[in-house]
Amino acid sequence: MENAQEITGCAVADFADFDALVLAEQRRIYRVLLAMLRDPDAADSLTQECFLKAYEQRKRFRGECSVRTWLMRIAINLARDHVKNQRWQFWQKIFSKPAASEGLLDPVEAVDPHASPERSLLARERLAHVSAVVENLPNQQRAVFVLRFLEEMSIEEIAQATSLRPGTVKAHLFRAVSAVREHLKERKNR
Amino acid sequence: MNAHLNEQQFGELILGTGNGEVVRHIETCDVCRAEAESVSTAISECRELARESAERDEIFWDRQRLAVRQRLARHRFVPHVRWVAMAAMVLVVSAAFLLTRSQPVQRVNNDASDEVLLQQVQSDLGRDYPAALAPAVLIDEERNSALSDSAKRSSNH
Repeated sequence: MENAQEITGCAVADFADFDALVLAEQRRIYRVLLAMLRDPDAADSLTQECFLKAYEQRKRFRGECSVRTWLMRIAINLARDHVKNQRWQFWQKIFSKPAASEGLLDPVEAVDPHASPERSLLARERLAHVSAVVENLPNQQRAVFVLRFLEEMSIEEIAQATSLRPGTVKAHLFRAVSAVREHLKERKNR
Repeated sequence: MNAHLNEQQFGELILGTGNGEVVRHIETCDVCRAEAESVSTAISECRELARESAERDEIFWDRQRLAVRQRLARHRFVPHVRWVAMAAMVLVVSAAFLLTRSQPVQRVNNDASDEVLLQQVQSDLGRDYPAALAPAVLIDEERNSALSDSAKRSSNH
């Protein structure tokens, strides 16, 4: 695992131990794909696809960014293609409430089971609202939001992963934060 | 700064890239501070939630790694198959090319041999005897000439 972390952190990839790379990054790639697609099966399949693509394109990797960021770029492109290919399904999901077991952000599962019933209920409500806001963000905003706030990537890394300019990344983030802020305000005023 | 933070300033604050003016405003404005805290808390809860939602048991990760390994093995094998198929195709194409090229040559030979055969038949037909009996005819001619020589010699005596 230590070896894998060294590999992913490096700018120049050592693909000799590809299995170690998969081990180090599979959770992260899966998490981001799940957050973007809200479909566990698609996230699983595209995570595998991401590593296959990385292996195929390993000779094209110039080391301009870290392997981790490069892998993320592949994952984001795959997610984008997936959404394009299954646009009707995407819209279906956007307009329909995702099933509790399928959703990226499942408030029922995430709330502390040891909390008091009242506190749990409040926490669930709050999380359900925030989840709804994130899930309803436009594609690009959601991708940028996920990378920044859920994966804690820097603006520069997000720009490299999404092929956007840092200024555009920031603009997307401001709008996403603004949406969350507005939603919380509305909820408070109710 | 008397007014509250605008979208960009608020965003900068949440991203942790706010300038001194933004930071000073937050220190003095209870409304903006409360809002910033509320948004930050919501985002960190979201983060926790996303991480927990994506948590899977070790069997899931092992199975995923195994699938990647198997697909990679297939992927490595496929180019070899492609090369073999390509080589076979090249062989088939070149064999077909050679066959189609050699057939007319053979045809020309056949035509020539047919012509020769016809000429032979024609000459055979023109002969007084079949070619197969030529040695017998030769022997017969030799015999006849020997007989005529001996007859001449006996008449001279």
